[in-house]
Amino acid sequence: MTTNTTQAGKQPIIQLDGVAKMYRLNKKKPFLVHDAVQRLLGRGTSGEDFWAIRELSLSIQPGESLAVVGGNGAGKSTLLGLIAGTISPTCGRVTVSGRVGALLELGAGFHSDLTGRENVFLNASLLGLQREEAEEQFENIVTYSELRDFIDVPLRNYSSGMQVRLGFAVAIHIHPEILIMDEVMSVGDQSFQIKCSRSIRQFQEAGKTILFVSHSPGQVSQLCRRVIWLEHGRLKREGPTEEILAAYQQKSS
Amino acid sequence: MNLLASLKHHQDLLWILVMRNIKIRYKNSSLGFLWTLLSPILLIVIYKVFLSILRFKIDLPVLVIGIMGWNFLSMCMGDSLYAVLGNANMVKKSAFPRIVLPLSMVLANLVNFLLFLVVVCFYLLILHVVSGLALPGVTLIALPLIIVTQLALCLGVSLISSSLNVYFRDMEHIQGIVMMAWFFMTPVIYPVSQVTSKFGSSFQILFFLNPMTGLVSAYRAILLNLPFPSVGLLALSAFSAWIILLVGLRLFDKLQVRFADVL
Repeated sequence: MTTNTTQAGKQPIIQLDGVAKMYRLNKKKPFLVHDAVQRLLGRGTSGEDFWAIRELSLSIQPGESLAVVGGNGAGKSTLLGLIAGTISPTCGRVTVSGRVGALLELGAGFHSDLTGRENVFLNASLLGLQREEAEEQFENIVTYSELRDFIDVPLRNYSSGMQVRLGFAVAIHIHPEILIMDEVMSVGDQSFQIKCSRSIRQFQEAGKTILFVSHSPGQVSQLCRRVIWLEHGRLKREGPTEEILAAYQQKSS
Repeated sequence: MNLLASLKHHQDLLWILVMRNIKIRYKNSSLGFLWTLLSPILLIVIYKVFLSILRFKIDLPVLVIGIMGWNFLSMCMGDSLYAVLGNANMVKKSAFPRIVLPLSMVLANLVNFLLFLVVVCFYLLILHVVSGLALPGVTLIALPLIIVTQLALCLGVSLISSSLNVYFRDMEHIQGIVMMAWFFMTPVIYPVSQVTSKFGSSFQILFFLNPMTGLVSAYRAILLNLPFPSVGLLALSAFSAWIILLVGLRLFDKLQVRFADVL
């Protein structure tokens, strides 16, 4: 990777060195105890190897906004999962220095039997917020979500749009240094999306690092200057947004 | 230690999950949390009725204390199967120390156990007033130690079964069989003396190698002010409980790395 030399001397906030992730596709059910033991050890006998990410090296500077593009199954979500720490790499090393707010899905851990209020605290603590910080932010979260009347109602009475709004409201108030988003901005109605974009712009202005997957070229060019393009788990190209987006759109059309 | 540091950092999450586990269990019942007190009371009543009909060779307080100890383990075992599997979405979508899932489940069951203990204490107090049952003596100070040891055991087995069940769904069926055998190996529905009086010392060592044997007999000895089994045998039970916790921690730590891959 030579693209980072422009910012030489600065410590990258996210660094990937020769990272690869292999999944074993088990086509057969483990039948014999031997199979099961092998599977436990991660050495499956009847599976087929699938490399979701191969030999990927990448570094991201603090304050940078980076978009990941690529077709279905290109490894975008795996890459975000590796950086967020939900998935561990098969080989290579991922180094992240800073609090990560990973929105691999809005409202992770939401439970339909709990009220909106209870879910806010659960979700906030999953995203790494301490109890006092969550209590401080609670009012802002409720105001942002515009769900004050429903906050003490069990989540199962929420519409899916309301759940997304609550999830995003928590996410935007956790103040992470790195915000990772997996297509979460494509949900919700028009006014919600506008609100979303505005909040993300505020994040950028505050000097936070943003890493996201999006299928909307408009959103990508609006939010970031650097794009990486994944294909079959490899880094196909990386560089300035216009250049990569143009090449990517030409390829996929 | 690394694990303790990350648990300390995520203690809020741990408590929220403990509360969630307790709330969800009773969320849709009209009596709600009251059931944690009601079920042991009803249990005592039912055994009282049937013991007198069936003329079982065990005193009711002895039986009830045995069931109290066993209940903690079997609740944890039952819940552990889905402690990780049932939270697949959380595991896949956010990064947090996975151990909080089985740990919060065990702690929620500890709350149940402690309430069961409160009911049993009231029951014993009633027996003391009505029929002059001996009150616990100074050994009562050892009770927290016994509870902590059972907590270690329950966490240990829960770590093992919650992580294995992610990869190997047959655990559910295996566990049913194991728990049945374990139940009869543990002096729940029979007094410890029934085994210790009949068999030699080598068999007794085997008997107390089952951590539940030592735990149940210690609960009985403390709460009913009975003589303790030998200290050596109790120590053996405690030792195996803590060994199981260590094994569970190691196994869970190994297996949790690929949870998100297979869920």
